[in-house]
Amino acid sequence: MASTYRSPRRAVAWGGALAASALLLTACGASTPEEGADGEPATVTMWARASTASQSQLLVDAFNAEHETQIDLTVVPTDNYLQKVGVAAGADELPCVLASDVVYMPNFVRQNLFLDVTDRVEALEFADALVPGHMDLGTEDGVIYSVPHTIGMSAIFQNDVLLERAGIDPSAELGSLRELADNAAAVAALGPEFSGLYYTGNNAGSISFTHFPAIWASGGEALSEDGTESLLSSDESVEVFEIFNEMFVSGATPDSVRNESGATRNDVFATGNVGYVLASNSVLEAVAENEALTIGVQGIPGVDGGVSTYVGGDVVGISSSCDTPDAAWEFLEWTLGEEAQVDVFAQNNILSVRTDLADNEFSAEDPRVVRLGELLADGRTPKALNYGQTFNDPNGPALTAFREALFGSDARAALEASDDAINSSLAN
Amino acid sequence: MPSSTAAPERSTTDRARARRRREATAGWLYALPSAVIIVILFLVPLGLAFWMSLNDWPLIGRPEFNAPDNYAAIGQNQLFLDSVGFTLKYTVVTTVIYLVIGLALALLVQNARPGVGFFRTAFLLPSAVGLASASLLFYALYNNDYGPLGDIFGFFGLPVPDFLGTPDNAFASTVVMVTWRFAGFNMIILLTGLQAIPVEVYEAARADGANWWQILRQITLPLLKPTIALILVLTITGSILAFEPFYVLTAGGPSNSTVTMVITMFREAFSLYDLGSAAAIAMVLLVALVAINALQLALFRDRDTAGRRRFFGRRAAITEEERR
Repeated sequence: MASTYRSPRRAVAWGGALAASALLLTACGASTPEEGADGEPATVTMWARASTASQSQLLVDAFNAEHETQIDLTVVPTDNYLQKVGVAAGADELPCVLASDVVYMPNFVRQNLFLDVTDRVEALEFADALVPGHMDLGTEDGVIYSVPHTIGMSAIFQNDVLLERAGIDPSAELGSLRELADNAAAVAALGPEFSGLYYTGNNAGSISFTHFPAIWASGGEALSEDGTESLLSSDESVEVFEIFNEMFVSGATPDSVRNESGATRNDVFATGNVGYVLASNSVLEAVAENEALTIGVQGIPGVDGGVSTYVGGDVVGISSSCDTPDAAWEFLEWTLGEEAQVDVFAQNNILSVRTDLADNEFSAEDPRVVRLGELLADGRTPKALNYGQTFNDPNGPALTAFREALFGSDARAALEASDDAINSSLAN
Repeated sequence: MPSSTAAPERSTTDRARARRRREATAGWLYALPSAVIIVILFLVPLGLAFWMSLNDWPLIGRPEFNAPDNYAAIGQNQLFLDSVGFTLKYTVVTTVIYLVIGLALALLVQNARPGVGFFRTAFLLPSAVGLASASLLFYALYNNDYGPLGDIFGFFGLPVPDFLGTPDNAFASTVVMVTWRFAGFNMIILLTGLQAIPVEVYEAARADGANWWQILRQITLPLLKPTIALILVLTITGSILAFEPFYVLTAGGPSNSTVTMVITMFREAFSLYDLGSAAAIAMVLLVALVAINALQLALFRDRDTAGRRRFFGRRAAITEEERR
């Protein structure tokens, strides 16, 4: 190309034309600052994932109604959250306030997506009362990057109406996973349209959410302490998967579980034809009771007893792209205050992210919420840098392993065969 | 340029040279806008992607040169290695299906009959739907709880298939979707090729008593070769780069049975946040595509001229004799 012009003047013209076009193209991509003009209230952008967005929306609406600062919430499809955040981070176009599935937090912190909020958090009077699992995953080397936003905890929800028809006392606590299997079989025997136990079987993020607690309650571990090694082929874990595998083979668990990716789990439970469902506390908000369905809550038991829960949900922090961290923190601080936690969350049957507000005027009214609050004390949140790419990613190594263990012919062989793939995904 | 040795007048050569230069300048000016766009939107990103593939390129922060680690890692990436076979299988299946169905549709609607315009339009319409939108549409159709297909199968007393539940079903369901989406487009391309074939050839063949099958085998297909070559290049390139149908319909499932090469590239970049590895996979894909298309064009060029020579063999011989 360069040989085509022979005079310096023409070279300059060429260069000028190129530069002008480049300027034109880049000018379109320039971003505008978020601050309004002087005197205008700041508008703060926020992203939340679809599965917990209803709770974020309640907080945002209540906050916007009484503050100068306005929060502009964008809901992102849950399955694409990791990708969308990645694309935005690469372009430095992250929203000011970024909510994240708590399990992604160690990775997001490693990628420098969040600003340090240590001093701001430690200045809060109730800093010690924030859910410990969430605080643990949002902290790296003593620096805090996020605060709890919403709680998603796993539990067993049962249909008391069906249990009674199958001759089971719904008020009795489940003593073990084996007892759950027997009860589910009894419900499934009521007729072809009835299912004993339903859960999400085509989403490894959900399977770890609902099945890890059974491993913990059995005295086992799913991951090593530092989150770089899988312990899923340990005896306790294999026993748990074997019991679920037996339920699938015997028909206590319906075939459709294999295709359930999570989108319709609550709808299936809402039909009233399901005895038990492994799900998150969102069931209490999302599923309406009727004459065929009375919802009860049980903890997730271990093979021979014990009980545990997975404390998931979202944390929220200020992103590294944020120009208005003070306005963002104004919102975050308000969401943790008593007004937001009690008048907004608890009044709508949503669990508080503060342990000191777990007992409040609203929660005491509903024994199921009280039960969830009790279970929360035994809850755990696994911490692993590569949790997202290993468990939540549909193409990660865990989904194939879990499905083979739950629905295949030999749970132990499946889990042992997948050890290497899961370990290398967790460790790299 | 031939230079004359007969020493012409200086002024003339000068004038000629000036004119040539003016023409050259004008030519470059005409080509400049496109050249600028190609440089900025194609060459620069391509160079950047190649540079990325030589670096450990984090999402935020400074890249570090680490060649050839990203390329070495491709050999260890089991998901990518498995996806190569699957993508090639998908490519072969879709290429055959597109050609057969596209040609069948084109032959159906090639002759002007009453109402033929309606069918041409109906077959082409799906091409107006975006690929991701079409995938989402079929995702709803294939959902047995909400979609109509399950009810329709049930109404006719057929067993309701689990459209996306098993690896084979998910693959077949996706192929049906892309066929619906692309068959009409290929039909239009083949239709233009068909209409370019002179009617005299068909008349001569019929006069010689050729039947429908012989006409198809010995006239239509050989004369459609350039058109078929175009469709092959488009389909093979598109299928090797398949992403949306599987990303939307199956998310690579069940159990990673429908993961394409581009899905693994996307995953490296936006789930694992390893842009260097993703760029390396992109470069490998690019080289493979260029090689495959160069091979195709070479094959078709040879076969094409051979075919033409066979068909126009006599006429070509005559013209050569005439020339002599």
